[in-house]
Amino acid sequence: MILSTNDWASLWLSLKLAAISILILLIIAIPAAYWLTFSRSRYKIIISPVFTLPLILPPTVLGFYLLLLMGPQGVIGHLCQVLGIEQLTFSFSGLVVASIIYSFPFVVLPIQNTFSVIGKSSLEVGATLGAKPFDSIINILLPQAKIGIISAGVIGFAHTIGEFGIVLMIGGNIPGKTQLASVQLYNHFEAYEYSQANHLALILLGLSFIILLILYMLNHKFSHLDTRENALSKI
Amino acid sequence: MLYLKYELNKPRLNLDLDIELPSTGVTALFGQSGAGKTTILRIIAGLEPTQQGVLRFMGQVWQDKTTKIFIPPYLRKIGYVFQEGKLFNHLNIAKNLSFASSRSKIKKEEAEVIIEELGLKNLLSRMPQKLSGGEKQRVAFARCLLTQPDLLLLDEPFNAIDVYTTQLLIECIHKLQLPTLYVSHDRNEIIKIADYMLHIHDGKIITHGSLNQMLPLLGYNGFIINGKLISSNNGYCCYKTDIGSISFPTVKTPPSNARIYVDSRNINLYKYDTGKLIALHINSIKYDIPFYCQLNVKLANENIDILILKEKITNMEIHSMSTVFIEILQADFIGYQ
Repeated sequence: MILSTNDWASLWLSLKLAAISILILLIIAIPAAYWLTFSRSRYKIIISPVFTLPLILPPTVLGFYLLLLMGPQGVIGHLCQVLGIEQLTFSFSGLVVASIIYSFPFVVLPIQNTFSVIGKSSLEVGATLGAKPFDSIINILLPQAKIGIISAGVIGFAHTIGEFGIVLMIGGNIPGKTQLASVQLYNHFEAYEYSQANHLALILLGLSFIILLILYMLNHKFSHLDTRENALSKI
Repeated sequence: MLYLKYELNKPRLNLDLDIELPSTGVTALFGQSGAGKTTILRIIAGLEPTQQGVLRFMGQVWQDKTTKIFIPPYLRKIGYVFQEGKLFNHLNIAKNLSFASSRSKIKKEEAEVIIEELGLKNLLSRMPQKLSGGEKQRVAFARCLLTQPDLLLLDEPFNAIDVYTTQLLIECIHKLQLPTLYVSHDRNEIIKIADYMLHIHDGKIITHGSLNQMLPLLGYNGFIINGKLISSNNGYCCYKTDIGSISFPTVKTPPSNARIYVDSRNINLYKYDTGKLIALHINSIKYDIPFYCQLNVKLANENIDILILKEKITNMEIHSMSTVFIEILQADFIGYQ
């Protein structure tokens, strides 16, 4: 299997983007999932669909609006100019932001589902045993939800690697900078380089298979535990 | 003393409470499923999200809507045993217990006594999923005691557990002498453990009183007394109680401290003392029940109702505000004191 330097660079960029995005996503998604699960706020009914909108929205629609926002005339783009920060459009940072927004529901929903399955009763037990809310979250909720959180991370990672439309709109096709594996595959296809397209596609296929294998192995490993811990089946 | 005034409107429960409860002994919350018993425990624990009403315990205000005081559950010094134990499934038994002990900072020796008393030493390395229902409940009970609570809240703690565990936990509850609120719909269980009882129906307290006052509601006609064993021989035992020394035949080994149930069918009434009888003061008599008359008598420090067959007192000419003497023909040990 022969891959060009650009192919390797695009693969490396995809993996780097997925890794950075998923780390940031988990930091954001865990509190968001907690709020969506346990908050009694009246605004939840409005916020929930906003969080899950990228799930059903065509990536090009999301990409279009993000491009407007991040462009020099957009609010975020203008803010970047004022603060002297690199423009987000056609940059790796822009790709990270777009990936986070696009993959957000794919990470937050499994975690929210895991928290729902665990329920608030564990937190209540913790409170009656003298644990403050944050203490209960760290020592009761998160350890019980770890499989669900890992699964959400794996799904988010896989989803980020597979992005195409939105990353093409936000990042463009700059080799070594914003050219991701999925975009590079499309480049090969457009140039009738079917053999190279096939090689890259096979790698992405293998990667996806390995990710799914990890997911199912996790599910199998923890299937003997209490069903509350094994939230994978609910994802 | 625990004072609770609370109104709560839920889709399936309208709670309306205004009650003072004793600060000693075991108070049973009795009623059908859905009556609001567990909700009352949750309010006292601070687990109900609507922070309203007034709740005071031993002079401390735990919540008061008017002064906007709300002490969170983790500061209330309560020990709450939930239905089915609710152990943390990601932690082994030792870690489940240390979750409580590390936060209450209970002395190691005291913690070891609790673990020993509840027979948990052999379970420490096991995971909750591998325990039986009774074992789980013992761990849950120990875990709540490790918080060094001032008030115990027990939500149907003996549901679906074995007789050995039930006996062990009841013994433990009596030994602790902590004020305890205990939810149950099992009348046979209540007479073993409770000292005071609330009857709750549709979120309202229908009636409340000492266990003896509430016995008719539980379907018992008689009274319960606590006694210390004085002597036991020839199949007879003698106990010292608040109403005097009582003797009755028994086939069981009499416990040194016993909770004794005397059914009114197993007592004989006499107008005059023969020397070994127990005096009872009659407050009032009602004759309007078929075959029975209802005697309101003073037993120790409380007034209770007992039903006596009319034929037993036909020729006695007893009347209100007089004293009669009773002979106990038979009695049963209940509870595990």
